[in-house]
Amino acid sequence: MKLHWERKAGRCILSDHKLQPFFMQSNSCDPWYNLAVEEYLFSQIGDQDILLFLWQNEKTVVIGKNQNAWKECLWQLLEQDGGKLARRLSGGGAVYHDIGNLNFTLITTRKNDHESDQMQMLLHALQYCGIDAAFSGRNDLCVQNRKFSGMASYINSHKVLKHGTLLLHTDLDNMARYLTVSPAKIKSKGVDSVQARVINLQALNKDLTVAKLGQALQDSFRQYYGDAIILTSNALDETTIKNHYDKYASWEWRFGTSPDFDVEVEHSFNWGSVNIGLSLKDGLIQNAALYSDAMDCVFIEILANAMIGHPLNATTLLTTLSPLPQNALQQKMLQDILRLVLEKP
Amino acid sequence: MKIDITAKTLPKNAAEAKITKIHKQIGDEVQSGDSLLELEANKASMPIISQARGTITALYVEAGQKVKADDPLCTIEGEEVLDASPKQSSTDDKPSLGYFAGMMKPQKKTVASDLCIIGAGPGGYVAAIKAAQLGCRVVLIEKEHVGGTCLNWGCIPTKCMVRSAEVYTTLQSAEDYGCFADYLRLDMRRVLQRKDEVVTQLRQGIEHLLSENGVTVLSGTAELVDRNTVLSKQSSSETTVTAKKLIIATGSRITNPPIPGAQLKQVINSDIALQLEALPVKMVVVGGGVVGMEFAFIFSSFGVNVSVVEYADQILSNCDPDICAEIYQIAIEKGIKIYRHAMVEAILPAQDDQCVVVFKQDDEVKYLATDMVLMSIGREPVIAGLGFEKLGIELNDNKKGIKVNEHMETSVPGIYAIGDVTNRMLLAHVASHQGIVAVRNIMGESCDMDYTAVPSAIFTEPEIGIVGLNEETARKKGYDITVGKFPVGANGKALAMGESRGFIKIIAEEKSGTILGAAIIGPHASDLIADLTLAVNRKLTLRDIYETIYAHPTTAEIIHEAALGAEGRSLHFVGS
Repeated sequence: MKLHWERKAGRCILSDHKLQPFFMQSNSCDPWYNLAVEEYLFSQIGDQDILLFLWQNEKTVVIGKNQNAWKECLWQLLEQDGGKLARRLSGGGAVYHDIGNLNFTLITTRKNDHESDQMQMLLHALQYCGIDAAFSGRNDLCVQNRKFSGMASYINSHKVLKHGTLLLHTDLDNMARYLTVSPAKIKSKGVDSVQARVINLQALNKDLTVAKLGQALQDSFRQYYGDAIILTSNALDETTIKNHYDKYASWEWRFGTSPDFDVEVEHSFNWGSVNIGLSLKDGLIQNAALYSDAMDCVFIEILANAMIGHPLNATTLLTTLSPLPQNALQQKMLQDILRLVLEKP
Repeated sequence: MKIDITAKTLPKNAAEAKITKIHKQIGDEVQSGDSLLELEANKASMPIISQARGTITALYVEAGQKVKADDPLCTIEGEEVLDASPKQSSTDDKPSLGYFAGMMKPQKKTVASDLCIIGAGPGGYVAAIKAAQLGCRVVLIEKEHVGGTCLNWGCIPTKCMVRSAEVYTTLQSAEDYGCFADYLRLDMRRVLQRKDEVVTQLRQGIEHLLSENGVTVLSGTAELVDRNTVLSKQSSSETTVTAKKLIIATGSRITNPPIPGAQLKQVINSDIALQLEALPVKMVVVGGGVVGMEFAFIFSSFGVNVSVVEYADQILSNCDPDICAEIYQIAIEKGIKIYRHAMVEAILPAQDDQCVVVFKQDDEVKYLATDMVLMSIGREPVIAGLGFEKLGIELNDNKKGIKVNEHMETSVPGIYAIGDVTNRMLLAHVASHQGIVAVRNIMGESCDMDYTAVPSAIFTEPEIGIVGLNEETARKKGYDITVGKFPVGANGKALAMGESRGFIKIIAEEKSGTILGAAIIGPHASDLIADLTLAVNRKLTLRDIYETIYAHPTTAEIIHEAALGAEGRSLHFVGS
């Protein structure tokens, strides 16, 4: 681990072949902050290092690097309820986090990435907590054929980041509520989420807390890799974390980096039925085709043209389009159409 | 040259991956390290990083398409660049501030740093080197000399004096060793000169280390402005130092005693005692602690008639009671008079350039006429003038010293304090260790200061070394203990050296044999204690020690014997 000031001096103090373990636990439950820290740690990890990072988020939906924000969750509902939408670096599908869920991140270099050791280390910690888990497929941990952990990774030319969730007492009703896939027809070039039957670990061991599981993971990590250097928030370069945070919180990252996609929605209103086809690139509306049997089809065409080039984002569309209606009916049509394109996808 | 780009390997060795993003189009210029496109397989996302620079001439894939590891993705017309790594984020190549550029102009300067340390004693300068080694830009402010009290007015100069005293004592008994010195004399000016040479050499050594490690040293005073700013005043200029973190290492000063007559010209402190070119005939040392007893032995060896007046029941009262008794006996035999449980009430001037120390012992007022009085009643933290109040830095409950947590951080986050100014254990090696702990925490590694295995070395004649619990404190803490004791007189090397006084005591937990503490009085005691410090720190057992081979003939064999002795199995001693 090159702590941030070491890096500026261009030094590397670790040279022996044994892996140097590092451990960090986040004090924050803000997904954007935790992802910023995770990315910072990824950038700082050295050739002979391995790091375990434990973190939790308050009510959050985290979508994969290559997912479509509109398609994977009801983020409008989530934000209304005070939750946050976040996009992570790794691939995979959308997951729901709350404080009943513990996230772990393992970071090391590609040449030191021995997955079976790492997975044994995880299973060992779970075993210690009385959970006899098994792998399912390549990325899931299951017990009684039900999934309680999903993992995903990010790989660059040198390093690997793997992270996963561990459901302890997550609100499964909320999970189902926010992760409901939208009924709109979205054809995306990105990655789709896969539904799975899930289980909370507390249903198996009611005494198991987040703290106990966290400690078991930390202990198991030490057993496998040796005494870990414990990092605190002092190890983080505030400016870099701030930059990363701003990225994770930004509309551009969360929505704008959605893979190119086409959306098609249809609805009947009392003023007529409408069929909307939008094609998006980097979150921007490239093409808008609005078909309606409404009387005022000119206004529909005006709306369609006005949308092009703008992000599919409530604030921007509202400010762009709100001067357009000339009467109460047009006002109503605009509201209905906006609600349709913003909420339905 | 045409370079075909493929994924080479796919994440998790998947058979195929989905292209999720294309960053470069035909005609785009690319640099080595640029991300060309991104793909995903088995929930792992992976960017394809260019290892070439040139222009994209062909693109074979589109977003959403699936590819295999060796499918061509695009072609670059250009040249390959070996060993490309992903672009570093822009924060990594911040230009360093050229703060030497402004050095030519005196008056006001500003220096930007990661860490500013106030005080270059053994706490401050060690912290500075450690932080610099870890890549920190460090500014170290010192108003006097680097090395602080330890090097300039404490540990080192006194050890030079101790060595002169030893040589002088040995010369006096040279005949015992078959050597004859006919005309023996002591030249205090040469003693002091040698001491100054050693101090200067070490000081230059530290200055060299600091400069080699790239630490900026400012000679001047320091005042805290805010959590990230220190104002340093030099003789002809003012420097504003900005820093992400601060360490206060301002040390301690000699306590001025509230005793009537303490300002008399015959009354000196330890700083003056290190500069005496002419020795008094009689000297009274007020305070029988470490400093007082070291000077008592030094001056007694130089032929001064020394008396010690100590307020407590014992001299060196922090030591193991057996050690106190032994050093008391040795001091008496050497001719040092010791008045214990005695409180100095006043120092009165006499008519003949002498003075009289008035003290009360066992409710009886006593008088000692003397040429000189050496005050050694303690030291107090230096916090005045620092401006800690306006930043809200809290003091210890007794209002002496700056309050710190186990990370050495003060009540103000980002400001740390180490060494004597924390008033915890006023020892150079504690300050250095606290400095290392502070720096490790500053660099983001969580690490606590642990005081359980702090050794002390006392340079009386013979030396004393102690670590951990003593017999008394161990019992008070409720341990069932066993004590291994071994006399120096039963050690071959010590006898050969002509040093037969003293003993070693090892205190271990009865059941487990875990070593809790040790005390040594005898030759090389200050060096031998290192072995036992390691034992206490790493919780070694008696068995760990006695199963280790100790070289013969060395004084260290007493450690081995004492560990055996704790189980009643000494080989070279028949205990009572």
